[in-house]
Amino acid sequence: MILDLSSSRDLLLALLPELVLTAWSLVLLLLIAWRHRTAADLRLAGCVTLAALASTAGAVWWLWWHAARAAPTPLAAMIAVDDFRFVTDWLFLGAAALTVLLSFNYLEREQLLIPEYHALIVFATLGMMLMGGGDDLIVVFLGLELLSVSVYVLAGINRKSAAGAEAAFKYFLLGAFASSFLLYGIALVYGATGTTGLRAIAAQVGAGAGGGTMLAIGLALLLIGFGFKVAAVPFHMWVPDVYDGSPTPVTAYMASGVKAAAFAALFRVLGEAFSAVAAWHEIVWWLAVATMVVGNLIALAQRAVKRMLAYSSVAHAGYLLVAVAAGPGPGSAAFLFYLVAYTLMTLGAFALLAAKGRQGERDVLIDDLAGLATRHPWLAFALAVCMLSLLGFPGTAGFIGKWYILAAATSAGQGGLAAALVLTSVISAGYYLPVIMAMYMKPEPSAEAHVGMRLGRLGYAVVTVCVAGLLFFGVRPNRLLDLARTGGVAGPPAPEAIPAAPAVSAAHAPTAR
Amino acid sequence: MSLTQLVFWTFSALAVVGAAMCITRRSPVASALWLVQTLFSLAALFVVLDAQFIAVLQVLVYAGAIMVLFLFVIMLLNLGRAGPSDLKGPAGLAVATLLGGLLFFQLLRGATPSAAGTRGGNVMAQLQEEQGIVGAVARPLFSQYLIPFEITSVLLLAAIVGAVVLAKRKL
Repeated sequence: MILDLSSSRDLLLALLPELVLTAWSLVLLLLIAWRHRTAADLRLAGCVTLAALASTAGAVWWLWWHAARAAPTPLAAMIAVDDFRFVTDWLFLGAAALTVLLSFNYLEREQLLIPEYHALIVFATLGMMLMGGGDDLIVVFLGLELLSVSVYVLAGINRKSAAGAEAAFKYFLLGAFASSFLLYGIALVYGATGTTGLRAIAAQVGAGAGGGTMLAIGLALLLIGFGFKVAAVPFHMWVPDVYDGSPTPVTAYMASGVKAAAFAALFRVLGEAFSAVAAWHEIVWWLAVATMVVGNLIALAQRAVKRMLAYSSVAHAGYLLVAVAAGPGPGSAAFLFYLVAYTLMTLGAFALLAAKGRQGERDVLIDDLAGLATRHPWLAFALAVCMLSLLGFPGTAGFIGKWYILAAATSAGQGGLAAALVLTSVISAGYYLPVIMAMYMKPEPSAEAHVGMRLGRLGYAVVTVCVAGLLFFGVRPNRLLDLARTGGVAGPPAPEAIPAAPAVSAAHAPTAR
Repeated sequence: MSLTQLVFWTFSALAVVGAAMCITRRSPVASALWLVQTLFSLAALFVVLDAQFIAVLQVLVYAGAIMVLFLFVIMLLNLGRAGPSDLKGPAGLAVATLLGGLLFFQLLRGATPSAAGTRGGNVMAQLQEEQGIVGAVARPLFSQYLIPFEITSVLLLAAIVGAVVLAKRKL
C-alpha cells in the first residue's frame, strides 16, 4: 500500500496509530474526570489504557500487514512510514502495557489512587511513537517533549515521598536542560541546511551544502541532547537518583520505554539525516566506550539493587551505542533486537523489585535477597533469568542481542568497540552474579526475611511474559530477527529511489497491493 | 553604516546585555525584567528581518503574557526581596521610553510596503507580497507543519494534566 502523504486521506491513514491513541487518551481523560476516587476507578482507567494500547497496536499491525509505504515524492514528510516505525511502535506499546499491568497492584498498595497516572502513560507512549516515527526534527522534538513532560510528572506522582519529589525535580531540570541543547542543535542544523526534514537534510548534506562548522556544532548539540536522554556517560549523572526515587513501575518504564524511544530517535536521526557526515561516528565511538566502562565500573560498587540496576541501564546504553556506531546498515537489525531484549529484561527485573514490598524497594540491598530461592523459588528463578540475560549469558535473548551487536560492530570495522563490549560484559558479571549467588547460595537470614514479598497475579503475568520472551528469543531468535532486519533504517535514500523495502516486506504481507 | 545595520547592532547588543544581566542578577524580579529587555530586542531584530508579525507575537506572547506569568510566579513564591532593584530613577525611565519608541518606529517603518521593498531579493518580503504578513506564518503552520501543530496541542494537554496532578491540593 503506497500512501501519498500529500493527500489528506492517506496522511490520516499513515497517522492512524497516533490518531487512535490520541482519541483514546481523550476518552480516558473524560472518564477520569467522571470517576477518579476509588480503587475501582483506578482499575477501570487501567483497563481502558490497556484497550487503548491494544487497539493502537492493532492499527500499527494493520499498516504493517498492508506493507504501508510513503510515496517517494514529498521530501517534506513529517512522519516516516516504514517497518522501523512499526517495530519500535510495538515495542513502546508493549513496554507501556507491561508497565500498566505492573502498576495495578503497586498503585493500590502505595495508596496512589490517581487515575491520571494512566493518562500520562498514554501521553508518554504517544510521544515515544512520534519519536520513533518522526521524519522531521520538529516532530522528533515535540514527541520527546510530550514524552518528557509526562514522565517528569510520573516520576513525582507519589507526592508523599520526598525521594519522589527529588527525582521528579532533578529529572525535570536536567531534562529541560537537555531539551534546550537538542533544540539549539536543531536550530543550527536548520541554519546550515535550511530544512528540518531528515531526508531533506540528508539531501542537502549529500549535495555538499552546509558541510561547515555550523552543521558540526548543531550535530554535536543534538548528540548532547540525546546523550542526556539515553543516559550516556558523561550525561548520566541524573540516572541513579531519578531511577532510585521514582515509583518502581515508573522506573521500569523509564529504563525500558523512555530509553528505547530516545535510542530509536537517535538511530533514525543519525542514520537517515547524517549518515554522510563522518564526524558523529567518532563522537559516538567515544560515547559508547565511556558509557560501557564507567557504567559497569560504578555498578560494581553499588549495594542497593535499584541503584545497581540504574547503573546497569547506563552500561546497556553503551552497548546500544555500539550498535548505533556500527551504522544504519549492519547495525539496525542488531539494534532493534537488542532493544527488544533489553526492554524485556529491564521490565522483568524492575517488576520483581517492585514486588519486594511497600516503601521497601528503595532499600533492598543485594544481600537482602539471600535465601530467596528457598522461599520463593519461582521469583528467584525469574530474577536469575533477567540477571543472566542482562549479563548476556547463552540461552537468553541478551546473549543473542550482544552477539548480533558484536557481529555488526566487527563487520563495520569497529573491532575496538567489539573488544570493549566483551571486556565490559565480563566486568558486569561482577554485579549480576552476586544477585544470583545471594538468592541461591546464601541461607535465609531469618524466617521473616521475605514475608512482605507479593507480586500479585498481574505482576506474575508481567514477569512471566518477560521471562518467557527472554528464554524464547534466546533459543529461537529467528522470527524477531527477521522482523528487525526488515525494520532497519535503510540509511539515506538515493535521490529518487526511496526504500527498496517493498521487495522485502512483500514476503510477510500476502495482501500487499 | 546604514540605518538597518545601526538598528541591528544596537538591538543585538541590547539583547546580549539583557541576557547576560538576566543570568547574573541576584534578584529574580530584576532577572525577569532583564529578560523582558532581551525579548523586546529580539522583537526588534525580527522587524529588521521584515517579520513584523513575528515581532508583534514576540512582544504580545513572550514579553507580555509569559513574562507576566513569570513575575506572578516569582511574587507568589515570595522570592522578590532577595536584593535591591537594579533599574530605577529617571535614567531607567528615559532608556525605556527610548527603546519603546525605537521599536514602535521600527514597526511603523517596517509595516509600510516601501520599506520592505527596498531590500530586494528578501525572502520574507517576497512571501509577504504573495500572502500578506499573517499568511506567511499561517499558511505553513496549517499546511506543511500541521502535524507538529497538532502535536503541540497534545503536548499542552499533557502538560496541563501533569500540572494539575502535581499541584492540586486534593485530587
